[in-house]
Amino acid sequence: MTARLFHVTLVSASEEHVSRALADAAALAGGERVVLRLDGAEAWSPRWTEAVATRLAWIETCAEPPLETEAGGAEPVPIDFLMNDPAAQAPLVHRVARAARRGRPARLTVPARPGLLKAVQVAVSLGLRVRLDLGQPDPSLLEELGATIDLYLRGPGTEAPVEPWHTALAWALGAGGPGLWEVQEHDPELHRFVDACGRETGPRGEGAPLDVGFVAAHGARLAASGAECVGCELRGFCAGYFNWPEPGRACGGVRALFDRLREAARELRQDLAAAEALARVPPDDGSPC
Amino acid sequence: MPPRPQSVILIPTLDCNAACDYCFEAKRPVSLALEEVPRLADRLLDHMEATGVAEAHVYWQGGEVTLLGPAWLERAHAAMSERAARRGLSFRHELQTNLLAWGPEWRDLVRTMFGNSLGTSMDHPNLHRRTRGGSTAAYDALWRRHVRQALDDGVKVGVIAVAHAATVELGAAPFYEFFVDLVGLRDVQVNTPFPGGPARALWPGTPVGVERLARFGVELMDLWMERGRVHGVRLSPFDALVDRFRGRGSTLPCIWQECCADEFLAVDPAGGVALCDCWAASYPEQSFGNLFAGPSLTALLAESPVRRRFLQRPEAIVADHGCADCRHLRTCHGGCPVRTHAALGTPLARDPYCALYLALFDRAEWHAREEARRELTGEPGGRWSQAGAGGATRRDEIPSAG
Repeated sequence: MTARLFHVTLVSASEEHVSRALADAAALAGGERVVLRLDGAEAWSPRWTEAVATRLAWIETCAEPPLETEAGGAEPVPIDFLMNDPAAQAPLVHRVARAARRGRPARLTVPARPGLLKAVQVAVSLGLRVRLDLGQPDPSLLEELGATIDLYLRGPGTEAPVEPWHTALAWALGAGGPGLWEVQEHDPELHRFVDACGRETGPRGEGAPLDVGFVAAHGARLAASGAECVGCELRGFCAGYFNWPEPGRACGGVRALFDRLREAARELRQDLAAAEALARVPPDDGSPC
Repeated sequence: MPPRPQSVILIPTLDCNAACDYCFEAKRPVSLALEEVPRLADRLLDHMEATGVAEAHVYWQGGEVTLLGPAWLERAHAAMSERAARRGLSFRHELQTNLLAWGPEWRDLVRTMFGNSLGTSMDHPNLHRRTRGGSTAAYDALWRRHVRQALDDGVKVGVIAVAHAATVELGAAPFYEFFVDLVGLRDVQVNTPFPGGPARALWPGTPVGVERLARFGVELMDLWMERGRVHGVRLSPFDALVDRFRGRGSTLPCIWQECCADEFLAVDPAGGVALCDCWAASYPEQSFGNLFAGPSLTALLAESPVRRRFLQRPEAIVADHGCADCRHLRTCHGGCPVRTHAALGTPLARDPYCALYLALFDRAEWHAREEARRELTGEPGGRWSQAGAGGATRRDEIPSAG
């Protein structure tokens, strides 16, 4: 089981604020490592003491990355750039990648909003890790989301993982791994959120679940109500993710996305078997017999 | 992941013993003073420390570097090495020379300073490179004699060749056979020409039609895959491309970096800093400033509006030039800023050699797949190339260069 992480929003990166946040989070979680949410420019050029830096899992920020950031240093704190408007912000991905090339581990979180494909295309071209923040995606975005799957699966030289597709493919190949709620960092058992006023909020915004046992309870409620996911093959991975907050939302569209990954897994297994068979055939020496 | 090494193109002299028609540098007898080398090294080392970079690759280019003499370079090397070692950092040196002044006096220096290897340059056919006051034929003869001597001395010699209009006209096979079979080189790099500096008047736009260049490039890649790759002949950038599409680590040339302004800088004899030698020599108005002025190189780079514009180039390309939708964005990143500027008057656009690059990427991807298949099946290399003679692979399976 992954250790519980507290995502603490700070209004400033002053040592006083950071120390208090770390102390509060440790008291709440009984854990040691914290994700700091900082939306000021200092998110990109923090000056943490080593004692603070070692307790930070990563920093997440909506702040626009500067054209250049300083070198990551010996113990750089990873950074997650949370995009608001992927269509307009796609060029900024180059700045995030520049920070990564200077030694700071970086990730891009792309919301399910128009233009998401462009942001993912640029991120993949630069070898950046991507997390698509799906929520309940608008049906008009399914085509763009499908294109990100194609890029993840078949883009020439795609290397960095694009989540949740990367983990979903592992499931489809029978390798298991974390479920969708966890990959999306939306499972309240694993990800707790504290706003700038010190209040706990849910991972999916206002009114989001706070109960530690929410995912299991949500699944049980769906099963009891006879929702369409009861017989769904993805249920083990998805656990009703796309049926929250609207439990009645039809998920045929998103299921089709995951079907592409399952089909890719099937092709991959076939290809591997064919390659093994091919390797067993003696080479053609060119003679007619 | 530690930051990548800093690449420094050092132009210690603008003096040259050649007089090539299409050179983008304005030649003049100006050289870096040997006494300035320690100061130059300190500035570079300060910058490396500030940016967390442990190693810098110093590419010695001219003008013609060998005009400084081996003793000059030996003392410069000693000064730089000693200063770097004191700070736990290092310089790796690479030499680019026309070889016209090659002689036995260079052997020891090339071994100790440049890892016993050097890069030279030549075209085929040679219509533009000539000795000062001499002919292209004289240049050819001298160059070939000195390449032979360097090879006989055990030096690893690589060559950069510009594919100009007559190269393309002649075709891929004569080009390949000249460098590999006749001269005996096993490390060849093909560059595209660009009309910068004094050469600007010679060519409007791109000097060779891009489609013709693409056909030439694809033919050359095919030929090299058939005859050279399995025998260890390196033909850049094709070798790096095929390796990349095979999923192997490879370093692509600077024209296809994510943003060359992140890792490259050039320093001219007076300490002028620019993005690369092409900018330093052809477009002095695009200088970042002077290395020896101001508090530090780091500050100079951070504050230079010219450099900031170069840093913004990848963003402009993604925002305005359609590159985001290209399946080869990861390999190309919009191409070379100086080639773009030379043709279009601005670096903030897509490289005008785009169609050439796409043809090469598609072809290299195809070769990578074929090579992997052949390795898997134990099929001998080069079989696909027998297509026209009844081989196993049909010609229509091979993507054309358009």
